[in-house]
Amino acid sequence: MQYSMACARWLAAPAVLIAIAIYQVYLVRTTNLTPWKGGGFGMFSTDENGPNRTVRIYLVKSDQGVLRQLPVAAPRELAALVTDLRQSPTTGAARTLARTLAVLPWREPADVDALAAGGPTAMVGQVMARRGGAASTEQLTKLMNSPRAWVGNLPSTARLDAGQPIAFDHVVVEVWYVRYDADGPTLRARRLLEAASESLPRLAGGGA
Amino acid sequence: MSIGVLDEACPGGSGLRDKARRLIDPASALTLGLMLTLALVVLYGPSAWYVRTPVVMAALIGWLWPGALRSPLLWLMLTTILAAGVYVQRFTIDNHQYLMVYWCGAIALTIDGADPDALKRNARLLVGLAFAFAAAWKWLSPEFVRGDFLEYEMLCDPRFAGFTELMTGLSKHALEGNRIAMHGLKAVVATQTTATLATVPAVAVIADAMTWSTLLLESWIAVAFLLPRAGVLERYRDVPLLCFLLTTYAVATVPGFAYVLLVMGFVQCDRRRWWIPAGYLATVLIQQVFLLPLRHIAGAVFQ
Repeated sequence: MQYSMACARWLAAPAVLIAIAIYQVYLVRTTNLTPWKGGGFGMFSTDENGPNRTVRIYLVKSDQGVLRQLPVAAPRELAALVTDLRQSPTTGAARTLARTLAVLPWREPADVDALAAGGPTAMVGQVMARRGGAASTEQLTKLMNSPRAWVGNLPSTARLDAGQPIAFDHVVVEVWYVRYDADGPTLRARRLLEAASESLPRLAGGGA
Repeated sequence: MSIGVLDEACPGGSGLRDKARRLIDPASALTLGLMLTLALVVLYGPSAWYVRTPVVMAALIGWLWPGALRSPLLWLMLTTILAAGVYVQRFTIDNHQYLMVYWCGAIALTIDGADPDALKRNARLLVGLAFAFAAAWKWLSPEFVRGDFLEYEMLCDPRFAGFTELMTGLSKHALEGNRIAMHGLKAVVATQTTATLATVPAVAVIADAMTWSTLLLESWIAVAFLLPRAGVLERYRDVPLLCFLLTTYAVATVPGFAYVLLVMGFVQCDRRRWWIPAGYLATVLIQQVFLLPLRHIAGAVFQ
């Protein structure tokens, strides 16, 4: 009894290290967890790490047979979820993030349609008019200072105005990774996985 | 060779000699190791408020309360707090945070003194296992063995920028361009899927040399620390660890990892050779020098 207690005292910590490191190998093989993380000591062994992965989010709407994708950034409140997805990207986790984002009230600047109606040429025209003092710049300044899209009613977006709701059918979340190719040398970005929220027209866009 | 060598080496400077003797003397080494561990968890433990505040409180108790430093309860408390912090961020936190938890757990289990060598054995095993897994990952990673990974780090990782500039002559602007290319590929809106990097032939040569020296050094440490009868490898096991600490972290500065390895190395080391514990203590200070913006300081001085 005394001997086994003594053994436990000096083997417990190394045994936990081994158990967690082996479990981390299993997670790397099954859940795309980066070898850099999870207690397996795989740091500095591969460029397959979290910072080399990107989570891309699109609000998708079918418009007369054309699929339109609006790239958006996740709100700061969901940063931990996005980081976890980068470190250990699974289709299930990506779908969970897509579903979460699909039920949020996405907003865009109220005048975006009017300003964008004439295309880039019209916008340049407005900037030139502003420089000449010939046009009101309030609308344009507000547009320039607003993000293209944001989620309403969150602490991180409280400074922004109400905007207008964005109508979309579903949210697509993609995880991309960048790998180094010594030939060249070149960096190549590839899509690791993609997941979409189900079409939730009544919820999507927060009542749009 | 014993610590008595110090007496011969510093016959005149009794004050300094006595202080150095006390630092590396086996009787005080454990206390010093524990104090350094408290400094380690305060400086480089998880930064979340729910970990930092109780860790700082526990460390202050350890430093200030007589007898608390050797109380299993204090170390059990620290282990629990650190483990909770690691668990919450288990897929994002660095590996040395896991190692800190194991180390504090080992202290909690052995500090009561029933087996005076138990903590030393734990330290040795933890260092050996961490390097065994680190070396295994590298040997099994084709891009690491080919030298591609360290080539990539030299070209794109800002932590390697000063080193790459100094060793290969690749300009600061070229390295900045590589990093911009990298950011372009990772942007929220994808505009391209490939980017060519600027390089010079010396990058591949140095990356290959670093690859093989890392593989050999990490494997050497793992074998020397894990095999109980590895002869000369085992007897001088601290030499490769000190080399690792003084070379790797000079380039890739991860002070938390360096300090947890230093503390465990110091606690387990052979004190019959005075220069080994002294080497660990000197490296504790040198690690801080690595954190200075040396490139900018040198640039300002030689401008």
